[in-house]
Amino acid sequence: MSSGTSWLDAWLERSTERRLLLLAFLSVAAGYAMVLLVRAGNAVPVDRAAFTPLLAFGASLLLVHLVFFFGSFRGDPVLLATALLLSGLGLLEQFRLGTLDVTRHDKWSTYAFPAGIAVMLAIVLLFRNGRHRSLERTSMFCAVAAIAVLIATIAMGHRFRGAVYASGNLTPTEVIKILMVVFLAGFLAAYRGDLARSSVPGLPAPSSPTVIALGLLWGLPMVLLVWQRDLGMILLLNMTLLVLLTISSGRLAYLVIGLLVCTAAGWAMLRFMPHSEARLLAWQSPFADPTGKGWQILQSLSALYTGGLWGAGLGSGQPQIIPIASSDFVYSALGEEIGYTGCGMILLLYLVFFFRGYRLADSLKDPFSQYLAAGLISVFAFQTLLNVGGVTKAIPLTGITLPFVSHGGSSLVTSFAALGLLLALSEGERTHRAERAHLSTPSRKKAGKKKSAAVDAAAP
Amino acid sequence: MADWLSADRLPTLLSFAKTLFFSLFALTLLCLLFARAPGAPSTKHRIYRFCFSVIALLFVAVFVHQASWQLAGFARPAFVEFQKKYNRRPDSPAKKMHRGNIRDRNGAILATDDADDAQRRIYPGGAAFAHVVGYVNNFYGKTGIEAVEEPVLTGYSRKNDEEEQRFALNLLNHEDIRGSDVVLSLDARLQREAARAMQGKRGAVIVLDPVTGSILVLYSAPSFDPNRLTPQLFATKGTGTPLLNRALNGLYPPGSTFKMLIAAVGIEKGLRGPLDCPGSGYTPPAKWAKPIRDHEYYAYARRGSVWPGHGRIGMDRALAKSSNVYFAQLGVKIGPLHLLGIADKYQFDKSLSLYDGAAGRMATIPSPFPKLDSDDFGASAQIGIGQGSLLVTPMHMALVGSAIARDGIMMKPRLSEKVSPEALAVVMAPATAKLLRSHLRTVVTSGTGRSADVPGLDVCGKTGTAQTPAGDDHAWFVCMAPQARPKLVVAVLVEHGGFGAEAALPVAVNMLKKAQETGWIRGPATEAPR
Repeated sequence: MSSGTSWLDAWLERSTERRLLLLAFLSVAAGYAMVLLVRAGNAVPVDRAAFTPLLAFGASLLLVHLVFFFGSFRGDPVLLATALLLSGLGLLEQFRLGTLDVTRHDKWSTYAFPAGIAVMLAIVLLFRNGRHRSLERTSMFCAVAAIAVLIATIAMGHRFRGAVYASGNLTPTEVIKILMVVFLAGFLAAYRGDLARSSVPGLPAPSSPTVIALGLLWGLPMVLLVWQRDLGMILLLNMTLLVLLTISSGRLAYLVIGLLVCTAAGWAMLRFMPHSEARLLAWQSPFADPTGKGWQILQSLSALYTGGLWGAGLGSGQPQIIPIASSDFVYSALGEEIGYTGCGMILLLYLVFFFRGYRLADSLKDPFSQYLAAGLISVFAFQTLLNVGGVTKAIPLTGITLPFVSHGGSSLVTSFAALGLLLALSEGERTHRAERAHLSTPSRKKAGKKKSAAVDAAAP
Repeated sequence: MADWLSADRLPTLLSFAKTLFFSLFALTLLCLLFARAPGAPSTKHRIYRFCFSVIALLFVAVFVHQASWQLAGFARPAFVEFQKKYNRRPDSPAKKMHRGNIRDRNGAILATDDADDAQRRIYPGGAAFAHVVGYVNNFYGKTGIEAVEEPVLTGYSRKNDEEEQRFALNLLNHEDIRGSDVVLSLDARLQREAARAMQGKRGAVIVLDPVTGSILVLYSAPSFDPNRLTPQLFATKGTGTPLLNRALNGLYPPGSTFKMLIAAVGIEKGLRGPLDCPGSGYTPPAKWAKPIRDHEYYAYARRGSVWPGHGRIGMDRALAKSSNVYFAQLGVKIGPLHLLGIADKYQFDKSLSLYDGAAGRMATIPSPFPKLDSDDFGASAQIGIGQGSLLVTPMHMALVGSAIARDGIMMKPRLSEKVSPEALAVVMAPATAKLLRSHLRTVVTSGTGRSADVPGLDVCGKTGTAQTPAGDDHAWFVCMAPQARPKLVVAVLVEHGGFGAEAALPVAVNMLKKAQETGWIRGPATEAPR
């Protein structure tokens, strides 16, 4: 800790975070109490082990808060608290569904949440104070790393329900999300001028090397993903590509062209990927095959309808009837128990998260950081949209999980890693503003002048 | 801990915990929404705000779409059907959907939900009402009023204000979804009497109100118990096909009952005069025509004597004695062209609808009128006596009777009194109808229908014994009472019953007596209550 700030400052700095984390914990605890009450009412023994997930959650929140306090972290508390509340709800639902078996020490998924927290803290500490800028140099390497991961998964993995998994049903391809966003942010920061160049007004005409480079480094992972039949990831990444392309070049034409290409590609995929046709049928006319292709989505919708406005109450519904309730359909499981109101609150939580994320991107100075933040947030946003849209039959199901709430191991760790990056970015931005706030406090003017000079020298 | 949480404490605790959870969650959300970073950054890049707005909009759209399933899911009939079958939750809203009752005209319940299990349907009327009320079964499907008024019974229908209110309530309240009741024009007491009278027989009984067209009895035998559906019911061989509604979907040669219609046509054409009816019969002027003889001829021949014939008789005696010779000649005199001409107004070749429900209708199959050549006098002779290739549904004969009863106006049959009475056609002049009724009265007082002469009711009717290519003759009896202004028309068909007077007539008499007992008809002097 630098000499300029005192323990009290750091403590007060994190006061909002403290309040928010406490409220998040209490909300989850109230829900937990409901589940335990129902269990006790059903004469299921409630022993000490039942409290372990809640205590682990509380301990994790405390740990994060202390680390940030001791590290005099100045990042955005709202981003942190929203994500932690969402993952707390996910934890609650896993516990309620019975998939969170704390006695199973061999199962990797039991440790997903603590592992995620650890990864997040590690990344924050690693990349804070502007060190994330070093990632800009590694952007090309990230693309190569993504391709390598994909090849490795294909080579060593096995197919299950149409997608490719590594041993233990891990999906290492989740890390692709972060790698490709870092690559994209770096690439676009470097070549955005070229991408914005146009001869015909409105129509961008970037130079061939740029197009070829982007085509190869983006296209190759896409081809491998098609091989893996990971439709959700393809959609997700390409939507983010479109957004970032448009933002960086400032040309709306990319969006338009991109949408057209997406439609064509979508049609092609539907024609040639057998799995997709079933998905489309289930979406358009689930009642044509209610016990077969339409079963999943109809059970999801039935669960939601049974929940109604206020839900059956946590612990009182039967969400286990929904297939894959614990990962893809956790939104429906929650919807049955906390109702339309609860779902609305969850969506509001996500919107707060995205709002803060985009605001963060907005406030960052250099293009790489902006694109990195915007890209990561966009991935989260589209992921949530694809999942919620799928389980409510607004769009076909794409096998995407709900970030932070779904506790599929790799998905959770990757989401926390991305959160860590965002928090690291948010601190770098706040160091400047905090210093300006510091300067306004009269008693610290002298010390503030010294510090600001040092900071100004360090920051580019 | 479990004993402290007694059954009555738990719900209160749970609802407290639920409120606490939602409140804390809402509070957290509020704090998150209003937590401000010190010093708002200048938004130099509007694009990010635009990105967020688009995403927020998409979320709102998805959330609204979610409401159409989560809150308003009742408005999707296929979804409700799916939940009834496949939503295995014990507190599934589909299990709490109460289907409307089906009642008779006096409010007696013919179909209702089982009090213990809203998914099960019970039919207190049993086999007597099975063909009209129908059944609803997850495995066997839906028939009858249960099928045809499905939207009304399940609360979907929105055709009038009352139903709109019902639908709106059902949409909002997941806990108590109700359908509307359906009231039929049937009279349960009369219908049960019909079932009793037709025990052991096959055929149909129809009782109509000729003034309004309301159907009081629509019974088909053999029937089945809708409370106990089995796969054997659906077998097609050797079971008597109990699922077939013979009243609406059975086609039979009308035999002598058709003479009522021929007589009416004859009267209107001015052919009321007497005709010679020799014992040897009448051979129509057609190639390969065989002589048509009175039924007495065959009865006499069986005894070894010779039937002398009726001699020269008028229409009333011909009807009373049901003389084939007379009516064969009358048929020829009317001629094939004229017969073809009146087929339409007598509702031949038309499916007659009894009930237009929200999801379909109950109707008869058309009675096919034979395709006659303009010179086919052989066929018109056959039609004159109600044989040949002429086939009618029992409901159709009841309607012909009702036209005679209503002074020539054939009213549209209706199973529900919600629709106003409607006339199908005017088939004869009032004078014709009155004259015909007096002839039909003679049938009952001194003709083949003597056993139907219930004292004080002034019954008029016509028996029928229809020959069939295979098996015994079909027995018919169509009657109405009282003669002056008939209040009821009864049509009975007993499949392969033999003589109409012997098999069908007693059933009709039972119906008339029951009608008298329940106040439908009180004799010629007084008006019958409704």
